[in-house]
Amino acid sequence: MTNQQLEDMIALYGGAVKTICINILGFENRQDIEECISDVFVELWKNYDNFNLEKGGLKSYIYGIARHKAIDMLRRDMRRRNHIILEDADINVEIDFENEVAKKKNASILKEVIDSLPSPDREIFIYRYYLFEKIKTISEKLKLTPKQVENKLYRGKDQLRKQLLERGVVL
Amino acid sequence: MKSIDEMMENYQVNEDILDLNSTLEEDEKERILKITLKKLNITETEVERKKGSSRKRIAILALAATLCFGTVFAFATGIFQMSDSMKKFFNMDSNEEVNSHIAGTIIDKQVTKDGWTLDLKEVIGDSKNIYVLYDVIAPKGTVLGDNQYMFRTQMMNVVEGMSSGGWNSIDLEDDDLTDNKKSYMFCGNASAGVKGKTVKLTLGDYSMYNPDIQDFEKVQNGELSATFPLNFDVSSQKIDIGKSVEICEGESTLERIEISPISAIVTFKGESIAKSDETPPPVGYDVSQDINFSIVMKDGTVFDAPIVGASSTEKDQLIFIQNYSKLIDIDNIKEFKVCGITVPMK
Repeated sequence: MTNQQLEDMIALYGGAVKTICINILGFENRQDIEECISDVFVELWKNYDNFNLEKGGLKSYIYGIARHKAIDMLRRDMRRRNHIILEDADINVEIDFENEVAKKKNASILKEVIDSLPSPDREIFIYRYYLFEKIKTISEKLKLTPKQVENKLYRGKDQLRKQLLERGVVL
Repeated sequence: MKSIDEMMENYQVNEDILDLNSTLEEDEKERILKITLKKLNITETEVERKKGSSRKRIAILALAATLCFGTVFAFATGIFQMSDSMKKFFNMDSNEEVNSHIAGTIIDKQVTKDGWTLDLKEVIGDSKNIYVLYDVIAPKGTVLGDNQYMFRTQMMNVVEGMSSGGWNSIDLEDDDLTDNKKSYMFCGNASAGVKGKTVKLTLGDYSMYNPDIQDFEKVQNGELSATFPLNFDVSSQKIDIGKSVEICEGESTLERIEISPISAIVTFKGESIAKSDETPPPVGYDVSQDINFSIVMKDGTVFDAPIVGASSTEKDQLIFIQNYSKLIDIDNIKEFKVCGITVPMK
């Protein structure tokens, strides 16, 4: 990766990465947010040569790193532990993502189930549980009321649980 | 795992839904670039040197755990005398004779910061690979016990310039769980080569696994860096081939095999590689998994001890590097089998 490519990546994806970091870490400390953003681009620099930009997948990869790095930073920083206040996100099923074989199968089923959710339920799920966006932000983005978003999350959770079990996730 | 947000860690999101179209301010961009470069331990000059290099891909597969103990060093004229620890890493007995083709040197360099010491002991290598034996020594009174430890930051730079590479540290068996020391083997490669060059290792944020939070927690902050020259001769053997082989779903030429006691480096060139490089496989896939390569010894046995396979593609050239958990006795190689063809050892 060249200096110019790194600059380009920061210019192109830095804003989105910042949004994810703020969603997860909160906007309490500019320095922490910028530390987290730079961690994302350090990781990208290390792995950039694995990608062909024409093939795609880079954006979701970068967002995945951002999510992971921000959660990692959050876990290391107990002061902010309570920042992510998600409504009850427990689906009451212990799904195995530890065993490598089970993880691969379960990740595939999880993707199938979420991707097959009708719109805007799918978007709501991803915005809330992947990008940690606020209910208010999601409602504004999807032109729904906050209550509608909350209801869809509530019903979607049951739907997700049912679908995962029906498709045979490894517990 | 019961929580949806935790499960989503395993969800590969489709890009069409990621519409986070926010941008950074100019001053933010500059600050983030500066911090990123600092963390990468790259100066502007070093990065500038890489400008103009074409896209390359390199991947390192999982390293098998390998164990070793003790450290005794000896240096003899002519043949590099590996320490017992290095021998153990390559599954050798301590009294076993070292192969005359082994190339390496003692580093004997220590860097200390905030009471933490990185002690680089010795290195062996060939044209593209290095194995560096090192210790981490914690401040007096700290016990590095029976926990899992790792450096969160690990970087290898070739001072003369490096386009792409892969690296990893393997923890070695700890014979004293009550002291403040852990030993590791740093395994690295660089597609542009390392022979005769100067390498900079940067290790930082040493962390210990905490089962309560199921994550590593830092026990040391900041980076420990050391630079050392690879000032030893490499006596690998090159065999030029020039035969057509099936690779990357098409035909390309098997150009050469370079063999040393620690690796086999196979170079392919051709249209199928160029085509594959234009549309590479999905993330996580590495073409080295599909390269059928084996070494047949003079006694008819197959040298079967691979630990790392890596490949680097640049335009129409593919370099495949296979590392082994045992040293290869290159004087006793009969032939190589590569993608369906047999190449006799010269």
